[in-house]
Amino acid sequence: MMQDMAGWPASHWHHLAAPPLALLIFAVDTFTDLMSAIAVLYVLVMLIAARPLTRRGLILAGIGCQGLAILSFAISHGLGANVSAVLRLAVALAAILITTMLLLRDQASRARLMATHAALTRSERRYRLIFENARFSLWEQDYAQVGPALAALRAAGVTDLADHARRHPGFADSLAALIVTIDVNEATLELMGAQRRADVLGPLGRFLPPDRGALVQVLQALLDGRDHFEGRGAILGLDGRVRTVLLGITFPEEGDGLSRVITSLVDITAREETQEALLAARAELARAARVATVGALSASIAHELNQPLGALVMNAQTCLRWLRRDPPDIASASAAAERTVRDGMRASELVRKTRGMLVKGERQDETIDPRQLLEEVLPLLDREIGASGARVATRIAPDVGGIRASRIEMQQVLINLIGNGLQAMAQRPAALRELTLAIEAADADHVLISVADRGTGIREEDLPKLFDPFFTTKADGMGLGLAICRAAIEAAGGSLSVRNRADGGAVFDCLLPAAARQAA
Amino acid sequence: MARPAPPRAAEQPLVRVVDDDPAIREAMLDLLRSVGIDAMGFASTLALLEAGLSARPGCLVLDVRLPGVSGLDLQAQLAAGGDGLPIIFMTGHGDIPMSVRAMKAGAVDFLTKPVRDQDMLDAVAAAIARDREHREARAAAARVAALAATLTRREREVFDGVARGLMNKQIAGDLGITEITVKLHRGNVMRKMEARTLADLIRKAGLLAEGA
Repeated sequence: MMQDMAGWPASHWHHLAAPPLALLIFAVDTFTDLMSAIAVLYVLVMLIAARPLTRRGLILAGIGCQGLAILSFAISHGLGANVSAVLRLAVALAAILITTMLLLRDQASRARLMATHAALTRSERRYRLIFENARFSLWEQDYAQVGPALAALRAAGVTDLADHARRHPGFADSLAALIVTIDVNEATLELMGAQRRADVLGPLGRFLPPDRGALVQVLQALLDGRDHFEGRGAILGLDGRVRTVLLGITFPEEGDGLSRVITSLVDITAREETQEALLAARAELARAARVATVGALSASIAHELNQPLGALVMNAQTCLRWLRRDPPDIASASAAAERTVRDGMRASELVRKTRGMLVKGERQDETIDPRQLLEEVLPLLDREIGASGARVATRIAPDVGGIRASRIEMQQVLINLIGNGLQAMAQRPAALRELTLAIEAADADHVLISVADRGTGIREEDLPKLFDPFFTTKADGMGLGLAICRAAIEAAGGSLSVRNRADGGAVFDCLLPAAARQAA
Repeated sequence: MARPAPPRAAEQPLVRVVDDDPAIREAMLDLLRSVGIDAMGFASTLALLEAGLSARPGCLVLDVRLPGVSGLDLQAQLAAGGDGLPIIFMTGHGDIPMSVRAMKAGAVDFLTKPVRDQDMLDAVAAAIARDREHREARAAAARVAALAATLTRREREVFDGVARGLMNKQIAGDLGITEITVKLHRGNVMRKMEARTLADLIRKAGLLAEGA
């Protein structure tokens, strides 16, 4: 490319022919008697000599040629020149002058062109360097074929691609095949675990994990005519590992077509994993703390209870002994039976007192806006929801007031119920996974928060014991989640119940006491 | 059936129950009363020690966790004082290291509350029987010691020689007396120690050695 623009195809040496040519013209012009404007031929000398000459050289050469023309005119005509000879000289001088000026202009524009080109090359090299050395993955992709496909959809009246993708399972795949990778940088090879660029170039489809959510979002951005997209996605490396990435795509102006789309990926797998581990650790800690509390409490309660129970059992046994004597000692048996009753009452009182103490000791009720509660909880479940492939819909009635409960406990209840709902739908087709969170005023004194899934529902025989401690339908479950949820809600003065939906799935209804509205 | 009247009050066994829970004490005492065993309740080890351990045979029923001096401490204290009253421990929860320690220190049994009545009665019966044996052995040893006290110094020396299995000739040699004199002393020893046979005499020598 450089040669084409800068080179004159001839040899580098041809300009050396200029001085002899000038001398030859001078000789012919001076010593022959040709009645023509030989001096015009100095133009050839100028053209031949121009290439290596600087601006100043060109001017000097022009002046030199004119000087030669005038000299030869002086030699051959002297002072007694006729009009035609003077006119020929004038034509020759004008020709040389014009040629010189044209050459000067040509040289200037060529110099400008060279400078521009050099700048362009430097810029190109710089951007290439940036592309190559960027520590995040950059992809140059051709979306040219995607444009018409989207235009066809738009013409067909499709506006919600996620919905369209759900209804046409092959849709995302067919579009993924149209996106072609043209170039990638070094960081991309690292990210993808690839040895050579060629391993990554070509259709993008084979690097997308089965979940096409991010792709559909990207296409939606294109369909909506946005000029860029940012979001989270996943990419399947050549080694089979799925990386979670932050995705940034800039779509060029419509005029450029979509043949050069730059996509950047930042690997956040490790960060996500850390985040996940942190959340898991936090949940585990909370669970361990709960178990430890339960353990410590049950040990002390067991000890306290064992005393009256020990006495009770012994008294009952002794009572039997008095009765089995021959003759039975009714008075002693009655006394023993009365002590049995007394010990039983004492045990029962102990249980009641312990319960009261527990419930009172840990409660920190406050007025909570249920909408805010959802806003706090949903981000915590972002990952689970994303991984489940389920859609989470919220349905919030407009005039719902606050509830009165412990914030942390209610958060835990919702996290538990939503997590259960997502798990319940894991085996359903992705298109059917939908979790609905609804908030409404049940009556003047109660707010209803319900979590409805579209899973397999709860088996009839499991319904009565679903909230029992240590009852679980999960292979790795402890069976404490729902028991704790119910305890927490009941402690707040509410109730937790479950029902199956007629059209599949389960609904957990948390009925919570409404906070007294502040007098306006 | 009337409750069997004790032949002598001192011989009638007495079970002492120590538990800080009055309901447990009451239940225990009535259970023991229902099978005709005399029993007394104490709220703490201190109360028990203040009341004094009478000469009556029997046993102690202790809760492991007692305020003040614990059951295990009391066991150690009694063992050190040579008062070999058998002990049955009760505990609110099966604490294995604790029960091992108690059993090693000579407890008759270690029962977990709630206690099955028959287990408790069996344990009490076994403890009382053991106490009887101990007391009888101690009484026999005391009697032999009383008899031995009537021996003269020379007779005691001959007795020791016989007990060690020496022949008359050897004893005579050791003591620097004639064999005839040894035989005379030996006859006195047999009479004073109320031994009918040589084997009986040697058994009594053994009891003496134990008591020493």
